[in-house]
Amino acid sequence: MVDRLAVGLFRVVVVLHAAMTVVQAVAAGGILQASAVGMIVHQAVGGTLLLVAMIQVPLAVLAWRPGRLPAWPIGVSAALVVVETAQVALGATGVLAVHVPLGVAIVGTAVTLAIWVVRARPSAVIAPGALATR
Amino acid sequence: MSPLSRRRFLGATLAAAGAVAVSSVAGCANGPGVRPPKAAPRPLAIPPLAPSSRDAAGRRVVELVAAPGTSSFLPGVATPTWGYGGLPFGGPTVRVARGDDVVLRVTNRLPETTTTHWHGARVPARADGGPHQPIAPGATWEASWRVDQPAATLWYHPHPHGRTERHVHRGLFGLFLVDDPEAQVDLPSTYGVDDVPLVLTDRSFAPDGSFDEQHRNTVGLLGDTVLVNGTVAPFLDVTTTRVRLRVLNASSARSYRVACDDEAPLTLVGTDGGLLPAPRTVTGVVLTPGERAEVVVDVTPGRRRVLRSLSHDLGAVNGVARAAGADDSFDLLELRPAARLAPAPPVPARLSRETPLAEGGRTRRFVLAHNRINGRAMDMSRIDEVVPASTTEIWEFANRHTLPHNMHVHDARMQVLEPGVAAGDRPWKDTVAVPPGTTVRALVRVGPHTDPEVPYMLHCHLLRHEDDGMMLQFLVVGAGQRAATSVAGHGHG
Repeated sequence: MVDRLAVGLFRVVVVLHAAMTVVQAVAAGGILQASAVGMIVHQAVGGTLLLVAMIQVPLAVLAWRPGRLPAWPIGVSAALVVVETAQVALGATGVLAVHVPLGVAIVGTAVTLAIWVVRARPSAVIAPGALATR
Repeated sequence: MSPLSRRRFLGATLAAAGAVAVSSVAGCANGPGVRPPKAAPRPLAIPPLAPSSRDAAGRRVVELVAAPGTSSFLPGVATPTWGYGGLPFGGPTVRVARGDDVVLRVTNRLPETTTTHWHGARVPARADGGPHQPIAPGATWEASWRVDQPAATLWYHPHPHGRTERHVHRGLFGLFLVDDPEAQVDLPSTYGVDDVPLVLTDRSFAPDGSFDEQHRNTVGLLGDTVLVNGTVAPFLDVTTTRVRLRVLNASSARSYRVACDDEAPLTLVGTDGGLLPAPRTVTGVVLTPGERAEVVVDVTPGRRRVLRSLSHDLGAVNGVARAAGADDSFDLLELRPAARLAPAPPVPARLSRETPLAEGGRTRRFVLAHNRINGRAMDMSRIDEVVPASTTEIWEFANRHTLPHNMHVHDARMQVLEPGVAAGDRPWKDTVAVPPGTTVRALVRVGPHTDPEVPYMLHCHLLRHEDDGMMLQFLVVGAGQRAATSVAGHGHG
């Protein structure tokens, strides 16, 4: 029960995070068209996105144990926190030559992770003595 | 949840996020473009000269009243506007001579506090009319100084902190012409006849006829209808073979490239700070908000010519350029020369005899990014630079932003350092365009008035950026004066 809850919560946060990175990309395009709304959205979502990425890390751990998903999403979620922190600083200081490609990489990683997590199956629980019967 | 519905959930969430984002951002993204006016052409309005009197001390006194009014730009529609000197929109042309002791009294009959800044004038800091010289509703403010600068086309407009775009947009602006009786030049000079002001503003109209003040993009507030001296689709009857046009960009954000429809050349004779050393033949002149240009146009009898604004390169990404109106081409003014024209003398080969500014002074650097200068936002109490009076420095403006900016320095005479332009040919400026990703270096000289306590302003003249805080304060001090460390009378912020 707890394992399914852990995996479910992780899935929701990963999908939410991915959706927010897509919004960031669209807002960035708006900034390039001098959209006032684009600028406001990009700055507001940027900060919130980092918080969501941070929440994703402990949830990735819980999704691994007791959730029984593989461990690698923990590393990916932690890496996203590091990279997104850098991304906020790069955006604030206008180093767009790095901020833009890094943003593309973040969206790609976040969406790939989301697609994976939605399809992933927790590994089976092997009851003690089950293998011995066959 | 089954795998299929989980996938649908994921897909739906991502798609919804994308759709909401795209629709909200695409809404107010681009500039409005310019619509050709539906009304028939009307004669160009010429702002009247502001009446002046002499006081007992022999000073020239000009009284201006800022008040709300009603204008009629579109047929059958009334637009609430603000104006100076009894005009519902715009203001009378103040005209002074070098050597005059002037007294300018501004009475505020608006419902809000305003200020009146003499853009391009060399004035004492207390007369500058920036955010530190507020005029409360009902109050009268007096600025007085002795005019001592070369002949030039200056202008005046409000400068209240955070509300400049609002006040200028509603109609508060007017020309301020300085003549120099000791340095007369044989250029057309009959005001309103062959020496004609063209104040360019762009406005959009809401369905009820009022100005649209809502649809801004990050460049600022642009409009889809161009008003020249407040006239839509104007024409000018020309009676001489040459006409001098004093063009002022009084828009909040739109820049113009002024040119003739038949690609006839224009003769550029003056810029912000006065006449050029020698006339320059050009195909067009780009003006960002706040800049002025004086051009002489040759006309042939009976042959109409249209002055237009053409698309131009602001150095920005195409989406930003379009939003800034740089892709728009539209008519400004139709010139209608009469069948017989009075001959005008040729433009003299030598115009201004002002000594060019000398290089070799210290360099001051200003980095423009995110509507901030050197990372700082405008702070009424903070002094950002202390500049010695009557010394020429090099000011470097580096635009590290994706938006265009243009920098105006109060109380300054500037000459931009450009490759290919010799020192003796440099035009005089007080407002310079700084395209994205570029650095503009200019010789700057402030003074001679000094004030160790009251600052002047330096700021981006795209009014939305200025209101957002893209402005710094500087003191001009003389030898031996100790600059204040902060501006008195202002708490933090």
